[in-house]
Amino acid sequence: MMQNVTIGQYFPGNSFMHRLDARLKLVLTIVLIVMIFFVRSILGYVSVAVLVAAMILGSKIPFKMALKSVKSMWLVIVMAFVLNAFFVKGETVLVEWQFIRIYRESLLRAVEMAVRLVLLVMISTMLTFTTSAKEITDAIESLFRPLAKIKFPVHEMALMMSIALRFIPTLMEETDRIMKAQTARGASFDSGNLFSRIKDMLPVLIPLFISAFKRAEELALAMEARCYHGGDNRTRLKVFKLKGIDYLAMLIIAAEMAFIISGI
Amino acid sequence: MDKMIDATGLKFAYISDEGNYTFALNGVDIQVKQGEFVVVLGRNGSGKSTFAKLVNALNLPTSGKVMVAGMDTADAELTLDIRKTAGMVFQNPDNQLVATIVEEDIAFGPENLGFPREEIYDRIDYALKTVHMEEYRNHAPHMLSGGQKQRIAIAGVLAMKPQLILFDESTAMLDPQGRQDIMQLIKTLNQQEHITIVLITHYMDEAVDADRVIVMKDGFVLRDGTPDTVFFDKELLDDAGLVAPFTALLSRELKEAGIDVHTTLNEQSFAEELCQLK
Amino acid sequence: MSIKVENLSYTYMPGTPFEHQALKNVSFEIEDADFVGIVGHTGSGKSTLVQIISGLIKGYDGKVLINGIDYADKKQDRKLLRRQVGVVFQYPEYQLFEETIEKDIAYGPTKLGVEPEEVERRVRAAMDLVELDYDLYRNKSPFSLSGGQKRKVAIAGVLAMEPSILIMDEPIAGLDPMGRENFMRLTKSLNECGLTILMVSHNMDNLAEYTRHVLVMNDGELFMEGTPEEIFSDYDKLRAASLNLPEVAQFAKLLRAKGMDIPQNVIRYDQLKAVLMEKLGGKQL
Repeated sequence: MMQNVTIGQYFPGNSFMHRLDARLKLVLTIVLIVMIFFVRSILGYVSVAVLVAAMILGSKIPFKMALKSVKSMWLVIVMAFVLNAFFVKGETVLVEWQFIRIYRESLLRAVEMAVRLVLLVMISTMLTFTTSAKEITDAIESLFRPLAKIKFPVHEMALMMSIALRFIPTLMEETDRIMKAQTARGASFDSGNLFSRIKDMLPVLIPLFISAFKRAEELALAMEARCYHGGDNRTRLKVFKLKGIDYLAMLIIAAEMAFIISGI
Repeated sequence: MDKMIDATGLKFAYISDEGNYTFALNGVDIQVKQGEFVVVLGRNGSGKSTFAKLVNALNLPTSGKVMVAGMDTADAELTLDIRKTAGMVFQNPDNQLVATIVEEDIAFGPENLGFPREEIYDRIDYALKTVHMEEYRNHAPHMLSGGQKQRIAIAGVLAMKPQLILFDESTAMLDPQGRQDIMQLIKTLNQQEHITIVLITHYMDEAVDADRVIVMKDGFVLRDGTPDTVFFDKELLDDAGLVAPFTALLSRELKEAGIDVHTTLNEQSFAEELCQLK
Repeated sequence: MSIKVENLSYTYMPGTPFEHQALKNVSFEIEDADFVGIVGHTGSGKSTLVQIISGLIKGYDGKVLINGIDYADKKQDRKLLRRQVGVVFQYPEYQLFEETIEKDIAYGPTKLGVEPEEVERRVRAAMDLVELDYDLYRNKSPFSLSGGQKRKVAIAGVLAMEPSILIMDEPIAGLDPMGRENFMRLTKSLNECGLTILMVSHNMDNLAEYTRHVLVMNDGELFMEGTPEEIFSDYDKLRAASLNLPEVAQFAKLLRAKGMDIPQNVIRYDQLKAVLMEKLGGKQL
């Protein structure tokens, strides 16, 4: 079940989207996400949707995969829709049944919210699909570098994030294995109330923590053996230098921004 | 610079849970010459891994001294140089890969050493080529098999261009195919790249082709000699909790039964000898 | 207890790009008190197979009958399956979690609803089997032990459930030679007490030495089945499944190639030694 989660997965490649500077991609993704909340017209949403479609095309990742990330977030999207549709008050009543009142304005707002969320998920997915975790953390480190001047541990934070991402699949496999082993010993994880469920999870959580600590210890040794000594005098393999395509991407986003802010 | 490793009077103690000192190494002298292929055998807890960690300056001796290519591991100034010279590959392939992409993982060591970027790329090329994993450059490590992960770990060490590599039970968690691949690779590194090898293992067959075998027990060296001097010595094997490789056991037992054969570790020559007898 | 597997197929993550058919129409039967070795290269489907038999993977096609009962049937009590089938995973020491060894071993039987006095008896008996002194170890933390001893505790935890079938997936991985030997002997004595054993392993030498029945998996199919003598003397077919001969059989093959007449069924050390002694006139000491 855990292998089916597609959000946050990187697809190696060499497409337009892959070759964009990771720092720029990160910044532009944030800009684009913020912009979604300024869109005021249907045409505006269409323009963002077209842009997202272009991004998917430019990443050479099948549409189906990109859509799957939305699928994994469906609950959140449905919740946002329901909350807006049922609990926001408007002027024109569309449906009235007992205590439920659905207004035209709130229904529109609910649709808008759902559309925004879908776009938001797809935009951020495009970032994680085309940028390796290492690139993202390097980009964050590079963007936050000025903070190192005030003794903020930028490098350490970035490395921690990268390692966490590296070990997620490993620990998921491990969880699956421990759960199976304890199931074979008579444990069950799908019955009883919340409290007893938490108690039932202990035979999984304790071994998982112990193993995670052991892994951390071994990894620390392996890193030391490979000459790790903090962020000083360290080369960064991936350099950030803006290229032609980066300026092109900036131009496109700037145009989109102008379009949205002009409020058409 | 003939001696790659020169350990004298080496002791190492750690504080156990009960608060008293436990000696993992009780005073050992081990020398390894440049270009040698040395295998270290012994049961769990015999001090093999502790020795490797002392060579890599991951631990410092409680007493005694370890020199690596003429550098004293106790000298903190030299730590990085020592680790660059004496690379180490660990047991669990999962717990030594840091990056989410193969190429970036191999770059980790050279990045730490502050090499120029172009040189790092050259080193990645060299390392991937040597371990025959060029086509996996942009793969995610967790999608690879155990043997492939271990090859990436070796590439990560090779990218630092070490003179010596310590393998701490690096084949223990692999399937037979992966184990065979890694052993083949280790031999190539020794013969073609002229890298000194110290291999810690539980698999006796991996020791058969070694230049020298060191047998450890309870923090002492029980025997330091050629494979022949180890695998035909029943008392030594029993004492150290080792099992003779198949050919060694059979040739010794047939000889003891009065059959006119030489004790040997070489399967081919043993088979020929037996066939001439019939 | 007998096991019957009929037309078993299983696909991982169907309908995704990661879809993978792990088992293809596998059928076989295992008698009560048999000692079965399951071999196959990594990814051949052997782990999936034993996990389905253990009732840990659902949603397969085909049937698994334990003593004639299909536990996938909703009318059957799954607890009964857990009582009958014990599972030892690869690196089982990673499943330990209790504060004391005694509590950890007692976890399984307690979950199955065994009475406290009976649980205590079983913990004692299980520790006895794996050669851990009850009084010395019961109150110790399992995490204070060495790797090999931790594994003994984990195995005792499964044995305390007193299963009739013991399924083990690579149980000797990572052990030193003495540890491997001791473990195989323990398994043999459990088998002699009437337990049906299914052991997945990469170690052909141990399987040739100890099992009575071997299944060879290859790309999700049951590729070969027979006695160890039949399986481990068929070099060509094993190679086709990317597997090697046990070293004794390998050496016997080498001798045959050099003109010595060694019977095909020689796959164990003692057999080979006896044949050579007879041929070359050695004296039994």
